[in-house]
Amino acid sequence: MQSRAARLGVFAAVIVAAVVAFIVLKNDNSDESDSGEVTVTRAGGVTTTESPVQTLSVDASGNPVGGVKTLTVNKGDEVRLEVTLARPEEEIHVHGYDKEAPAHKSPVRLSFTANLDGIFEIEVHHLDGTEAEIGELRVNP
Amino acid sequence: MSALGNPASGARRRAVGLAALVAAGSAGALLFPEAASAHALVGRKDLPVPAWLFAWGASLVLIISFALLSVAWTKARLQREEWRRLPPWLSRALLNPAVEMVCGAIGVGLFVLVLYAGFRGIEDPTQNFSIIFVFYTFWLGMVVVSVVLGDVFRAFNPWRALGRLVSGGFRLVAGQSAPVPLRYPDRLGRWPAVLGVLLFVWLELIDGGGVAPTPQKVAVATVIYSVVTFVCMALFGVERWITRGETFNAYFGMFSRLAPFEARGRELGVRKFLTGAAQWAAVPGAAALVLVSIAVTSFDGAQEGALSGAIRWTFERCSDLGFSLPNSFRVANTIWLLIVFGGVSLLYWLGVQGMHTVRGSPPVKQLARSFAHTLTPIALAYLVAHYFSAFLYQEQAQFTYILSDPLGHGSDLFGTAGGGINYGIVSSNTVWYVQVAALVIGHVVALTLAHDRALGVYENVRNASRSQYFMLAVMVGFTCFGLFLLSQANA
Repeated sequence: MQSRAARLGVFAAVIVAAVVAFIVLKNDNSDESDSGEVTVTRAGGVTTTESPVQTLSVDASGNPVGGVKTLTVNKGDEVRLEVTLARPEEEIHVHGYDKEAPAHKSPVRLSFTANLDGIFEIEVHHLDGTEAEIGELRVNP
Repeated sequence: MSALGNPASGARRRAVGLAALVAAGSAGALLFPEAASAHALVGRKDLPVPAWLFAWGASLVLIISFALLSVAWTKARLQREEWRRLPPWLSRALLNPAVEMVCGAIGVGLFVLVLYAGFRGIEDPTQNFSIIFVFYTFWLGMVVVSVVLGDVFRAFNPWRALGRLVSGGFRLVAGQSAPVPLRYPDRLGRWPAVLGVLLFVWLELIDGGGVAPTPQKVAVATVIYSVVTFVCMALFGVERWITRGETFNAYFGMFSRLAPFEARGRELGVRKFLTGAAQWAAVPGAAALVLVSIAVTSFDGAQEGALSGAIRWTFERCSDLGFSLPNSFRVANTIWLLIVFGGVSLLYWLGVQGMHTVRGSPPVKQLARSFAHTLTPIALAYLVAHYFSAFLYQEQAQFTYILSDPLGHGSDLFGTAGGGINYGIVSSNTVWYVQVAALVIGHVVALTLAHDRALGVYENVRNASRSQYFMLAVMVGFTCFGLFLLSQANA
């Protein structure tokens, strides 16, 4: 009986130690990644006072030039999107944020604050009612 | 197809839904990347679990595993199901014919609504009751209900309710019970449900050829499945087929074995935590049912993440062979779905073979069956990890605009049609922690069940512990594979 109690004690201690180690090291890690993020933002802040314009372009058959591009920003950044078109389209649509802009004339400009982290599709809606994904907006927390 | 959250523009959405059909049918316009990523119904996808959390999740799993093994309780505690009656008034209140009839009627009502919305509702999957209800509220929500409250689905099962209605009518008219022409073959076990789960997920993820399944297709599939179910109930008897062969009852029933509650006849009882699972797996096909549910969840997670490159490569080979683009998509994804199922099964089979090398092992087949139930917590953890966020988003749709406007025709039955999905409901950090926590907890429970089962199967503690090195490898494999999938992408 006693040895079992001792074993359970060891077990509990190991679990507690693991959890404590996890929390401590997690904080260390997130501190690191935080400082990493800060430098990135600082670098971004140095090059431009406002966030750079992200460009996408759509070819004459309504598909993205060079495939679906991933645009990566950090949460809280201003997203400034410019889509060039080879023919008139219905609209440009950013999922999740549900931002839409009419796309009868090129280029289409859309800007908004990335206040929601996650991965969001950017789509072109063609005049014939079909649609195609042209980009992916990735907002890191 | 993932445009959710703006229910106001119904007309345009309908056009989009139609267009999706056209796009799926006509080969020319769509390239693979667009087609492949268009199937998700959800507007916000999870960010991959960051590397440091992946590493810590995996390490935690290993530490817990070895700690658990070192404690290695020496007596099986979970093998006998200790079921205790709850107060009789509670059983009388919850399990009486009137309640049964109401539950059955609700089940049949929702079933009819799925068919009606499927055939008559808007074509846009994101605006139609049948899609959101079948693939989220029912398929995922019922798992949650089953794990917490037990085999609740049996009471709401529309096929069972209709089957009982018909056999009750038969008894009334003929004065005797309906004959059961065939005996359900024991060897068939839960295999029909394995096939059913594969077909269900095939309909959800593959059949659309790159876009979400249309409500009509779901309704047609429901009709076909219902005909099969009615025929089988007539052949094998209603309760027999519902318990063994009927896909959804078998699938939710598997998770209900983890629940603390169980009704026996008209008596409600509670059982000791985790003692319900041990008896479940004694039927042929049980192992396959657990493995297939792990596999389909893995496939859904990997389709646009870890496996997207491999699937695309297969897709290109298929279209080189002259298949149309949607068919290439279907063939490539079907092949990879089966490969994932094969791989998941192989991992378990290796574990079983390993255990078989330990002195005093039962035959391989029996061994495989004896340990099948130990994987149900991992199947559950996979479900939570992969669908937690999507479920939270889609249920907002279910209880706002889908509730008030199930057909997407602009009605506003309960005044909630103007609602939408708030994608900001959970932060990425919360999603990550829930995902990793689900996998780690599932791992611990699975390991506990396996260890306890080994003590029941092997003569002495030493052999039981030795056999568990192999199951430990299997469990760590599954958990780390799950973490890996989440660290790639989860869509």
